[in-house]
Amino acid sequence: VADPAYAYEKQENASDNNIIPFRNSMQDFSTSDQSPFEPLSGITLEEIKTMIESKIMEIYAQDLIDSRSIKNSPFDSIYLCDLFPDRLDRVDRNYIKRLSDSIIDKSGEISFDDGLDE
Amino acid sequence: MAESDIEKNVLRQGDIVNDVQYLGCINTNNIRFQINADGQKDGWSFRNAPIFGPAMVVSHSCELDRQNGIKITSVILCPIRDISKATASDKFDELKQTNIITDETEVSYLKYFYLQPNHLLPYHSGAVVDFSKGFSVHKNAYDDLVNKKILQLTESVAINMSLKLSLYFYRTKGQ
Repeated sequence: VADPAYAYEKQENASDNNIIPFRNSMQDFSTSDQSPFEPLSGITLEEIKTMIESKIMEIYAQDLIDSRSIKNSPFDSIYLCDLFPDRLDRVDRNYIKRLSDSIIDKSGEISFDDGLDE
Repeated sequence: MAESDIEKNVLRQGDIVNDVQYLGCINTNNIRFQINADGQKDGWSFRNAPIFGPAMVVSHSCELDRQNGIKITSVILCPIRDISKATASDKFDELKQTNIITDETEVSYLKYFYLQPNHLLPYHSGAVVDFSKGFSVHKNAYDDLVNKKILQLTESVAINMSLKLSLYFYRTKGQ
């Protein structure tokens, strides 16, 4: 049986995909080799502030990139829908093409006498 | 097909509605236009009796989602035909056997999707959805279609129907 995933895929927790994950900055700093909260000699508060802001922006930017990299559906935020059976990527197209190339269509051998063809 | 757990208030791809007019089968040669004094067509009438019957919803489920009001401009339907009216009944065994497309399928009848007999369908010998006679109705008909919904495909069958529909419309050069 054809793999259903090729033609139809249900996205779970679609609404969550619109939320950009933002890691706990304290956790990131706490695992850092050089915590910005340790006493630093010769560095002004303004420089520490700049370092922290830079680190936050770096984390935010990375999270944004990570978040966007898993978004490959035009329906995510635009159409508010968790079902998108019409999502076709390259694999799906190749699958359809391969099947189409290998199947002989005999539809023309059947007709109906119910008035719809007149 | 599923009967017991039909979603009563929504339309999804693969839903079966009964007693809808087959607008796609109108012979346009029978349309009579009313011409006004300026020579413009300002009305029309149709001389033949309308044809009603069961049909399958083939619009994408996403487009039919009520939350996507901006996308529900019309609902695409395909008529369901009685296989007892077919002129080549000897072909139906092959049609049934090749109804579900697999990697091993070599021959099929891509224009038709077979539906087994069901007491809610008016065709007791079985039926086929005819992809070649699809038509659309205005979104204003949505609630009317919901009221006429009698069956819906199970998810796995709906996926197989969608695959066959895709293959019907997909044509490589020369086919």
